[in-house]
Amino acid sequence: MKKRPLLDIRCLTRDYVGNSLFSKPHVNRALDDLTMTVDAGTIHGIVGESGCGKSTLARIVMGLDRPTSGEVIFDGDEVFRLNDKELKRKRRDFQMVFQDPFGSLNPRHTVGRIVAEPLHVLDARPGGAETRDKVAAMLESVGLTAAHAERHPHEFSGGQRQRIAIARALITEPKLVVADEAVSALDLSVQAQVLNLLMELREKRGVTFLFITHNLAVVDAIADMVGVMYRGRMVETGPAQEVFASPLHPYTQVLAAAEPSIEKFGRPASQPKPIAAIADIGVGCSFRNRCPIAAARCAVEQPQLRTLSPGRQTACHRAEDLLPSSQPAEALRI
Amino acid sequence: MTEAPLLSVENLAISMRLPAGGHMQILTDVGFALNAGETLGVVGESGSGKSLLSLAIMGLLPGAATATGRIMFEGRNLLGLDDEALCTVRGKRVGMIFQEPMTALNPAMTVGDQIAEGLVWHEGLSWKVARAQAVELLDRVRIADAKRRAQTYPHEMSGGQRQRVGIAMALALKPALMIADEPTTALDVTVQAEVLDILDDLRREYGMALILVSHDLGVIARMCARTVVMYAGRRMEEGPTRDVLTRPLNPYSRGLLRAVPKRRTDGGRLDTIPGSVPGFAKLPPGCCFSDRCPERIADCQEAEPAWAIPTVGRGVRCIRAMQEFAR
Repeated sequence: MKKRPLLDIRCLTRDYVGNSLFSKPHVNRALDDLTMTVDAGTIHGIVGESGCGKSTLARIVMGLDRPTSGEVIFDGDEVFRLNDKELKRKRRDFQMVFQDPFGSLNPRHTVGRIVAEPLHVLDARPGGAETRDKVAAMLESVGLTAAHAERHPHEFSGGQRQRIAIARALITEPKLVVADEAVSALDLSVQAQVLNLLMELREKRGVTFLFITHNLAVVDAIADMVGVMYRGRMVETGPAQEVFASPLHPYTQVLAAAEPSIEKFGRPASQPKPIAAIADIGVGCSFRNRCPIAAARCAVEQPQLRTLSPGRQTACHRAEDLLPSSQPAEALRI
Repeated sequence: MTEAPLLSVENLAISMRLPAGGHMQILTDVGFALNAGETLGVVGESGSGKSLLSLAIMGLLPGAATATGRIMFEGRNLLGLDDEALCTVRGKRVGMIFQEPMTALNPAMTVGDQIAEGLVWHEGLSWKVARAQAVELLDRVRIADAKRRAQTYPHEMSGGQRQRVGIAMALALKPALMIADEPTTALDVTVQAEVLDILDDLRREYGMALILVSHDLGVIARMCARTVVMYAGRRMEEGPTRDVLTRPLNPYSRGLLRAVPKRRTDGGRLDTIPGSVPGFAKLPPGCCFSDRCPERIADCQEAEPAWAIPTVGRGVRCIRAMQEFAR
């Protein structure tokens, strides 16, 4: 029997209702019937452009926001059926690392106090000496020293602050850490250090990461699995390496082609299509207006995520044309 | 005789007056030249002084800064000009695109008027004519339905649209030189590709010179013919972009290139540069990169290496690189 995934998200939908003063309230669907699973001990990347709902997903997985419909099953428990007390107890098992290493640490607290803060959710709160020991051990495991606990955040560089944020997330020994753009604000040389740290923590402590970013190269470098999101829907999932080597959704191809690389010199020959007006949600494929291979069927029928080859899922009617065995160049020219 | 380049920066050094008294040296010995229609990429991590360099060329140095050296632009030394003379250069001959599309625009003015403002001030156009030109410019940077969008305020636009408004503003006066300081950092990759294409089209069309400041080596590879790598306020390496990125001479450039995230097939770790960028007050003795350099020898901490030209079109600041070349 297949092992139960650590995180099981089923048909998750989140609507935000915008109340405009002079017009009718309009519904903004941030997540649209999203289903995915994350296995324990993996680094699972989520990529997509701004507005695709990836941060909403992070907030819901963390229990910071409630879905309009759908379920989040974490480690066997349905998160939104738990009462407040149970949810609070559950929180030790999932923690978050935020994007901004400058805004997410309280400047008035010492690093020791910041890192120790999540411990108050534990049933048996450790005593003073035990807390100090835990904090010291945690700081050392993220590459800082125990003496740093006495200092304040402003004394640290961006990379060090992100290490502090990671130490804070890991102090309750969570099973899942959600990292929302955790390395985007860091310089290149420091970014690689923090990515290595995440890989090391996964190996040594078996921490599962849900790694949310707009940077494909970062996901390609560290993630085992990847999910590509577009306008609130999952459009492609699979092993990160395979997805980027041979994308099975035209959106993934568009993203990969637009990604600048130090191996691509000069301007690419193909002209990206101008972004057309946004398609109506609910009717047809929401990507069809930007899609280089859209067909008539795409305007009337919304594609569902389906398994195309072992481990690879895509939500595209024409995904077969993108398989490496057929001629992708031919398909793209249509 | 060869014609003087459009822009030539020579021995530029900038120090900042500290509130506590004394000075701190930020830029040291910066120099490069740029002709019309050429592109130069300026690469560096935060704290490398790359933004201060673009402000200096723009004549927007903060009051606490003292600059020495020369910034020759169209035959005039920009560092010697008074404010009134600078106003005829700034915006009109040198345009700038700022990093933050959210904060670079005036929230209380329609985008059309913001673009038209420069035309009214510098070209003496009437507001009516200037507004009509603003609509054309918005169209030029591929904003759909430009006529209606010109009458909207920045908060009604997305990040990518705002950045395009910033480009339209900088382009309104058809500057001879455009400085783009991290113009696409806040944008999604597909929008980034579009904005970069617009800049490239305009460079070709108007023969505009472009200085692109970025920490993203991929963006530099896509856009720039030449690249200068900066670290701690110094140029570490300069040359044709392809050479710098494929055959870097300076260990710092090599470290940066290795740190670009990419998949390791062996499941191993990413390469890193140990430590972090030092503050300007805490530079090591000798070479400013010597405390993090994997190829350091004793001589590196003796004295700051001079800027050297190992071969035509390349420049480097590293004694090891020069030893390699001598061999």
